[in-house]
Amino acid sequence: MKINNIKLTLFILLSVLAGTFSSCKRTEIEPRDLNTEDIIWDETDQLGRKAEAYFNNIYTYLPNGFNRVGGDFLDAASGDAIPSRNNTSIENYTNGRLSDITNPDAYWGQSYSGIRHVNIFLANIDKVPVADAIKVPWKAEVRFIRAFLYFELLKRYGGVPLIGDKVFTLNDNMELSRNTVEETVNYITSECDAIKNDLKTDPIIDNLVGRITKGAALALKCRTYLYAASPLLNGGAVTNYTGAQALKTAGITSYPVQDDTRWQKVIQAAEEFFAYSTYFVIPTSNNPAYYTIFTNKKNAEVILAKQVANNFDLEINNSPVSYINNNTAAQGRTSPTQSFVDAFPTNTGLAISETGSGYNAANPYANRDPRLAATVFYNGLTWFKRGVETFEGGLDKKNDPIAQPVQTKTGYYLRKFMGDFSNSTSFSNQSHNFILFRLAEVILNYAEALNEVNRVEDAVTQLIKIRRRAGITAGVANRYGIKAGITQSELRDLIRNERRIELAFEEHRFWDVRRWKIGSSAISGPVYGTKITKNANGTYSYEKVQVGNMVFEEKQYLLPIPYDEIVKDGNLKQNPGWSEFN
Amino acid sequence: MRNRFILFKLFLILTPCLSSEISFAQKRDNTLQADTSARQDTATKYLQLLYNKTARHLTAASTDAVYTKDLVKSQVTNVYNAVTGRLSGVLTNQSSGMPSADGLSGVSLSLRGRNPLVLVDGIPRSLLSISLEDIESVTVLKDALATAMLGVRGANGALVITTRKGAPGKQVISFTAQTAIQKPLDMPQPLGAYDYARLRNEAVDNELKVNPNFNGTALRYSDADILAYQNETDPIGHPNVNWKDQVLRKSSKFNRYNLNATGGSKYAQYFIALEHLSQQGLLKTNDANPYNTNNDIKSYMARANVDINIKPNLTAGIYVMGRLINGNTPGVSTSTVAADNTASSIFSNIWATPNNAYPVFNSDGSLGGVSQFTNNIWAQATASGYRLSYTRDLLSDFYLKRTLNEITPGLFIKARASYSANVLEDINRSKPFVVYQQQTATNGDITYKSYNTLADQANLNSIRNQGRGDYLELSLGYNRVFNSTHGFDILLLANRDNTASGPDLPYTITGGSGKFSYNFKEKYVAEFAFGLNGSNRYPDHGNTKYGFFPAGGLAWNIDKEDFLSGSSAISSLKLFTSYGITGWDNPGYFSYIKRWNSGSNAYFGTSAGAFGSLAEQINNPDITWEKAKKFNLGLQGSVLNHALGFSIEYYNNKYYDLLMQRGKTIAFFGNSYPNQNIGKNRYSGFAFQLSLNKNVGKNFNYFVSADASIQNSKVLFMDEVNQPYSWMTRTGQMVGQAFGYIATGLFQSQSEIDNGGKNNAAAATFIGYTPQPGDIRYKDLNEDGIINQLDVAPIGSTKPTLIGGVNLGFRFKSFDFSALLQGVANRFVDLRGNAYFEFQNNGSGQAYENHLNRWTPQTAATATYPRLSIGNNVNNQQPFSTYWYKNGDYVRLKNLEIGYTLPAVALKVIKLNSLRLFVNGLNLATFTGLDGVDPEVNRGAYPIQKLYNFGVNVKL
Repeated sequence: MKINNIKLTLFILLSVLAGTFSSCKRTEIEPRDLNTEDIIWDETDQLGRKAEAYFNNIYTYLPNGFNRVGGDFLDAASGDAIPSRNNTSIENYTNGRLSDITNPDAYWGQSYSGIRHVNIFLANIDKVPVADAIKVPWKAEVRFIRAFLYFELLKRYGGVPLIGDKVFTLNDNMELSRNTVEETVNYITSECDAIKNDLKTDPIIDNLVGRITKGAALALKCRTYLYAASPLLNGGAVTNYTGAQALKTAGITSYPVQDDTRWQKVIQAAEEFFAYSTYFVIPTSNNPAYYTIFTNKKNAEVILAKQVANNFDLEINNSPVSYINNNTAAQGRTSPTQSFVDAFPTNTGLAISETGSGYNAANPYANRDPRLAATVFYNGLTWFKRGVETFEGGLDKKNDPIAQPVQTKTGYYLRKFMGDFSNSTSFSNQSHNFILFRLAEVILNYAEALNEVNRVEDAVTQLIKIRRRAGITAGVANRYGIKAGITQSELRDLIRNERRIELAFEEHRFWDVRRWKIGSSAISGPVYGTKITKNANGTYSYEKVQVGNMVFEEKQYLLPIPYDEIVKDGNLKQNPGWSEFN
Repeated sequence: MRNRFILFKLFLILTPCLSSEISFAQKRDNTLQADTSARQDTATKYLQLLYNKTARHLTAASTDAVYTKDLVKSQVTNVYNAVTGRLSGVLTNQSSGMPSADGLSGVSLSLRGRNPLVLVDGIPRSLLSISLEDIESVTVLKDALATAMLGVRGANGALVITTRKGAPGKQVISFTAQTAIQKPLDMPQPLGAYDYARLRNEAVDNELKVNPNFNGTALRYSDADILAYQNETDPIGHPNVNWKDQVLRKSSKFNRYNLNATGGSKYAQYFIALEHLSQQGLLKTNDANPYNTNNDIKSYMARANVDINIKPNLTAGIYVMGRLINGNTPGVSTSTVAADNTASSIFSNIWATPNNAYPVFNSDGSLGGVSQFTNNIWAQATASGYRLSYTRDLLSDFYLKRTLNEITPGLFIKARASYSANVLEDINRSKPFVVYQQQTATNGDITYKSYNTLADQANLNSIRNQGRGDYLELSLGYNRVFNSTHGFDILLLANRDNTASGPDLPYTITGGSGKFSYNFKEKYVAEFAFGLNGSNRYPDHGNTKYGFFPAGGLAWNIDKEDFLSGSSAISSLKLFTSYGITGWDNPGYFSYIKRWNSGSNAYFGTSAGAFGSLAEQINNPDITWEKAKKFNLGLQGSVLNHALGFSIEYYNNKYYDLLMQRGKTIAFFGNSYPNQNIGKNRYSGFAFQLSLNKNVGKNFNYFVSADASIQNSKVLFMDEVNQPYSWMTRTGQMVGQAFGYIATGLFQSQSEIDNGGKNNAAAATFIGYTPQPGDIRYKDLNEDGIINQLDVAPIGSTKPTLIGGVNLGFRFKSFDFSALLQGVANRFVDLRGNAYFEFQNNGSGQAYENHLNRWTPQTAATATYPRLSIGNNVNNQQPFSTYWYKNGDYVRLKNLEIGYTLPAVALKVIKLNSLRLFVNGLNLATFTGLDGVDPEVNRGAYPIQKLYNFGVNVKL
């Protein structure tokens, strides 16, 4: 009896013990739901479904625009606009507070993260048995993105470390050093050449709009050569700081020596683009309207845009503050400056200061370049079936400290990129793809390069295309306001102004003033807006008022490499004028 | 209130029936009254360790314990708060007082600088809001020896909670009813509308002086506005609403009822308990609602711990606990985990909304609001519907123990199995609300502008969390003393702890452990313990990897030596030490596997179709557990017939292979670095304890016990970058040392700013900033004339943390009194954020009474706050500096209790064994240098509360 009892007890106890160890043997001891390496690079998937998802992820590294820098446009630091809110991070570029830790658009880590993802894709995609018809464009597209990310670094910092196809592992030595501007430029352009014939051609089919085409590769090449030929990188650099000359001589902050033949490469690249496709055409009138370039996903003036889901964020962020959509108040974050508004000619193509332009200071928005109304909300422009009111005390500039502490600082709000809501009562979802490359830019690149090599009249021909499309009247001798016998220097100013207004708020101006090295004149000193008073008889009086001040230092031509990177990498040289230790 | 009274009455009526029913099974005598306290006294001599009890003097391990009678003095919902100040070396911090389903909202616990493992009856548990009356003891295991059997989970120490069990003897039924009034501790006082408008105009003027880009016209109040605020003539257009008073109650209720019974025969022993607890939230409600919108918690718990002696040599036990927690919150939601966060969203809005933002109601009774503030706070609290949460927990433990005296006396074998399950369900019945901005035109017409969209009330339920766990254990023990000389206590144990949450694969720790304890005449004690276990989350392929974690200890009971045995002065004296290697398992979810996670969508096509994307997540293929080498040395004793006790301990723990991201992470790598086993930290310190317990005559007894710990830490390695200046170096500083700027006061005049000496270093400022009188001045450590990241140095305390508690009390005849003080020193708090600064959010934020002490040229000498500004001023508010990092030392009167026990004569009349009335208070007083801020709770968070509690305990 006693023995039986022991046996029974031991039996139970041993069963428990057996349970303790045997039940470890589950079928799934390691999670198989994870997307592991062998699933992503599935050697049996003819369609490469997971690899495609990884490929899609690389597309998310394409740069974006609009209200992306702390809620503001990058262009709010270019002199074209100022932020309506106070103390925003974008102001660091214009109030002297920029440093290696306060740069709101460092972009450094983001680029290298994208580059890593591209390199992983290139290193592994050949394991997946996808048909060449799919795989070859895939590889070319991710290489384009990589080249584009290097370009984004180049325009911010000058020469940067090139890592080729390397995928770093945890134990690699990460103390890289910077390549020269020349090497960086050559890498980007050689990649464009290497992939251009593997990419899909234009026009791309409707359900692939947004994918990279040959046109984009040629446009990137053209833009890269443009930056390489421009004063900043073409032997200009930043020189007024300790050690700056050595960095220039080493070719890191610019080509060591200026060479104006670099403009020829811009011309060749632009001509290669124009020769490539008959798809991209610029209309010969303002029809369809200028604003439709930005709201039609597929059109013959857009080469590449960052695709997003349709939305009306842009309208909510930037519309004048009294507009309420579905009970959400618009924020009016961007206040275009008076100097930007004044940069628009009248519809004759003549600057407002020129005689015969037809400009009337008492009615300043009448008879202007049609692009003005498509770019800026000014007092009286119709929106939601009423005129925008930016006069003092008007609906959109109430000076009401309780209900509306944010309002325009300049008397203007940003209108560009929005759909036409002049006769609507609420916003609807719009296509808000940020345009990365469009035809007008290539034409303007071409015009600029032609002018620089003194082919002035050839440049005028290109400029006319832009003005005609904008809706400026043909005028004397069909020159669209460009005077006969214009000099190279005069045309340079005109081209620069045209770029400013045509490509406004598309993140060109911020970099253009740097590459032309005109920062100290373009984004320095007082900023003006207009103070509008509504008179008793219903007319308005306009008064130019200072609304701010901008500071620009020479070192800002090249942005500071983030502090964290400099302290961790002993071989990484900081740009001149920024933190001094290396 | 009424319900509670009825319940109590009912109880009193039932009492005689119950007591007569059970009286046949027991003889009532005078000793019964002392029954529970006597048991606790035994318990204090015997110490609950991980898996077994031992006499205090027969272990070399470092421990401390607290027992039922002290735990139940605190009217709180979780164990952490009940042990505050009562356990040596343990530091708790409660950063929020919000009633929450798990009772753990905002509560943290640290032991010798690390977060310990918590076990209930020997099984690791995360559930901590178990009824305090169910707890026999909470033991803290501090050194390597005490936790060695935990193996890979032992390095951070452990908190062992033991539930009450029955014992053969008289049945004792105990009923306790308590009701408390809760009042929130320190909250900031907002500025009235007039002061707000006046100060904001001053701030606008200040901004315009330095910032030409500042838009002042939009923010400036007109003189007419200021006058309207001053006279309060226009409650709609110029309102003055104190949101705190508008939305929060002055006090709320907290009730607890506990009924338990313990007793047993030689065949079976039991402890059973029922508890109901209800805690009311701080929000006001609207009677017009047919439902409750306050953030209340109600819980119901039941426990049955039954031990059965099946045969003289075979014992079985079944311990079951079930718990329901029903939570209620307003419907407004800012987070996916809505139920816990709704109240906090209301709180952050209270501190972010100025008094003059909008009226609560417009003149037509509709809810007020403006485009800047579309979340009417009153509506958030009362008109946004409601959400319910239901938590259900089940814990069940079983064991079978067979003594094997027939093989050799003292040998036994024991098997245990446990199962637990929990589910948390959310019910969402929230609804949006519309607010209206009332505007009066010049001709007197009133118009309304609306914000927010009206929609149907939601009717959704979802499971927020579901988990389950099982635990199996088999142990073999041997416990015997030979010839009153050689004492052996040996335990060998194998166990498997398996927990799973949601759909994830279970986390399983499997292994064996053992403990060998030998003593010679109870004089010399030698102990060795080990854990050999591991988890299933390490390479390769999810197979369990085992680590071996040994520890040893020696103790010398000096009082048992011949040369002291005759001494009457020394009652006990033990010298003890231990050393061991322990582990800490922190593997993440199979983080050694490289995987691709969902990234943001890509869009292609003219219809902008979304395409899924996958992004690489880097793994650490070499991940392993963290480790620590721990040394402990202590002396513990008592004199004067145990009346005066003392102990002193020293520890030195070196943690290594700590998982952290390397310091030299670099962006070229292109992805975030995984955690790697690279960190090395040292934690060391001293602990002192002193206790006095004395009977003075028959009727008076008093006790005082005090403990203090000095806790130091040091970063030994963190793969730090080469800092340009020595003061920036983190390595060698304390773990978690704060780094910031050193503020040297406010600039008092322009001449101070202009005459900064070499490089203007004495008046250095941030790049691009023009300092003004009234701005904070910082120390330019590298004297380059610029304040930047190179001037960041250790700030706040760099001294070891000092924590302590004093527990004192007396019993005089039928009265008893006790008090608990708890304090922390060398502690700093960061007083920054929306609820501290003025006019945040581009000027639309709130301001507080302490801003009245701002710097102005007139108040320069007495100002305690920099000149006012709008938003985050680059010089004054953005930087983390000593100006805002303030000493947060405090001493709290954590607990105070006065009790009255009815004399035996009176008890006979009402046929009860014991009746005790008591009054106690929690957090009654706090002594701190901070003004208007609680040292534990950030401003703007849900405040912790002061409680006044009244209760009665009846035993029969």
